[in-house]
Amino acid sequence: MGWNVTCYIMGAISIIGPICLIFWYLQGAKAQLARLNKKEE
Amino acid sequence: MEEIVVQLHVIDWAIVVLYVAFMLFVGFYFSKKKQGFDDYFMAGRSLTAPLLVGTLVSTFYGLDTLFGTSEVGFYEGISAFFAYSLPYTALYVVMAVLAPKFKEMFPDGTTMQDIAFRKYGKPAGIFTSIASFLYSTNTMEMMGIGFILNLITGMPIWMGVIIGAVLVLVYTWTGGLWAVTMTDFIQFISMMITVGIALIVAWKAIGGYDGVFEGLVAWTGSEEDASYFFSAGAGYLSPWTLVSYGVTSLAVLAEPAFFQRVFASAGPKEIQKAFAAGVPMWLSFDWCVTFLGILGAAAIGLGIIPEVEANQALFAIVGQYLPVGLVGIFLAGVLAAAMSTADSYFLVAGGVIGYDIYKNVFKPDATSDQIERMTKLGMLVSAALSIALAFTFDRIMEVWVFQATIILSVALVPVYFGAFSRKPPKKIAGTLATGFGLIFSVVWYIWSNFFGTWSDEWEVYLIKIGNIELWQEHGILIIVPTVIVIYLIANAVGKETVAEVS
Repeated sequence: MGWNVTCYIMGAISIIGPICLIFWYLQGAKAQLARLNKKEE
Repeated sequence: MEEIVVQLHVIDWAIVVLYVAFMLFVGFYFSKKKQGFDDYFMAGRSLTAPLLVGTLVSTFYGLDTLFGTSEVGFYEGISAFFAYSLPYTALYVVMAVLAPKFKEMFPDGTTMQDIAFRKYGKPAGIFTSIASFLYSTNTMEMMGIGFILNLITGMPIWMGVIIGAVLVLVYTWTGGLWAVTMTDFIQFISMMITVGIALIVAWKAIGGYDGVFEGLVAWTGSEEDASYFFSAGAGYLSPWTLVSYGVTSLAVLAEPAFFQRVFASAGPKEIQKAFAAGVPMWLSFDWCVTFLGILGAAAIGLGIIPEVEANQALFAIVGQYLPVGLVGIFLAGVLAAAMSTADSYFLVAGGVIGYDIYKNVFKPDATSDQIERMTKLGMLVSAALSIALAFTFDRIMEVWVFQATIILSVALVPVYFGAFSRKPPKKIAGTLATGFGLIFSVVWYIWSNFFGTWSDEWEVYLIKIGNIELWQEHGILIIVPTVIVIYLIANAVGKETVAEVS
């Protein structure tokens, strides 16, 4: 039971972690773009 | 052509080809964007936390982790995770604390060797640069890419090695660190997600723990042996094997690619955030790979996959359980693991030639274009050396032991004492410690290879000194403390310090 749950959790982290990272990166890129646009104005 | 071990569907092939084409496109895209050496080699010192996570994780997790950890999992069970992976993770946590401090202390630093040049002068800088260059040769990854291409196409391994080297070199050469970081980011995502999916799908399909245990009993022949696979107390591994694994993990502390990324980051806070997010992902990747190895052994026991070698079991499991399309993504992920490591080290090795040697030693007033040209030349030399070594070494582990020994013996002590000591360190301490570290490690390696005896039981070279029998890996345990003693004595008696030039 314990091994099953741990394997599914670790597998899930391995899948969800990078997806969260994509959103984190896009959020930062969006904020930077907004800053650049503001500077140009 | 040899027999094809993993048969790919046309959709899987399309995914692999598209993936490689995309990596090349990224390289060419960033070649148009870059402006000067700082942009080429340091990505404008603007790497944010998410990009740092991708590039740090994928750089340090190459094929050695994928095949090495799954192989240990295949033979030894979960001790692959607890004994092999956890020491590395512990050191990532240490680096999470130390790396931001390096960025604070050397905000305009470029390479780890910079620290040696600044604190001890040219001789120590040159010795550290030689060690970093040798450490950054991509022999393991080149051998790995050759092996994968052999598995899926049947082409000879030597041909795969050359094709792999050319592909990685093209996009690293053209795009520099931006291309490396962006491709690392994509490669990190594909390798993490595919091993996660592979574990969940295969674990469920084989019947969870009960199914795996049943398979292991069939494979090993007894319940007692099968239970070793789930013993966190290291299973079959001896204490000396654990020491050996633990010692090579110290290389994390003197890892040239880590230092380059740290200096290329947007700031110390970004580094802290990157390590905080990266550690759980490192752990989950290790866990998935370990259990895919265990699943391989169990699947052989149950007759689900044929009796294959440990390093082929991972592919056999994936081919068995993943649907068409996901197999292609997995293979792209495996290639990603190799390419993301290889591109980083080509760039780091190029930087040693272009920045550390050419600029720091021979031409301090070199222009940005000249340094970039020399960096690219250095990448070519490193690629040629990597290919040559790939045909010289029989075992991947041999290369790793040599590289870990040399970087730890030369760089660890002077870099850390130099950066963190309160008083300015003495020039002679750095010169002697790096010089003797380099000489001792090369001599130790040559000596153990030529005068040692190969042990089939432990798969290491053994060296006899009197009644004491030492492993090749134990060189680090002897040389590093010796270098510490040399450093401390020289630092105590030495007088001259190097005025730091920032």
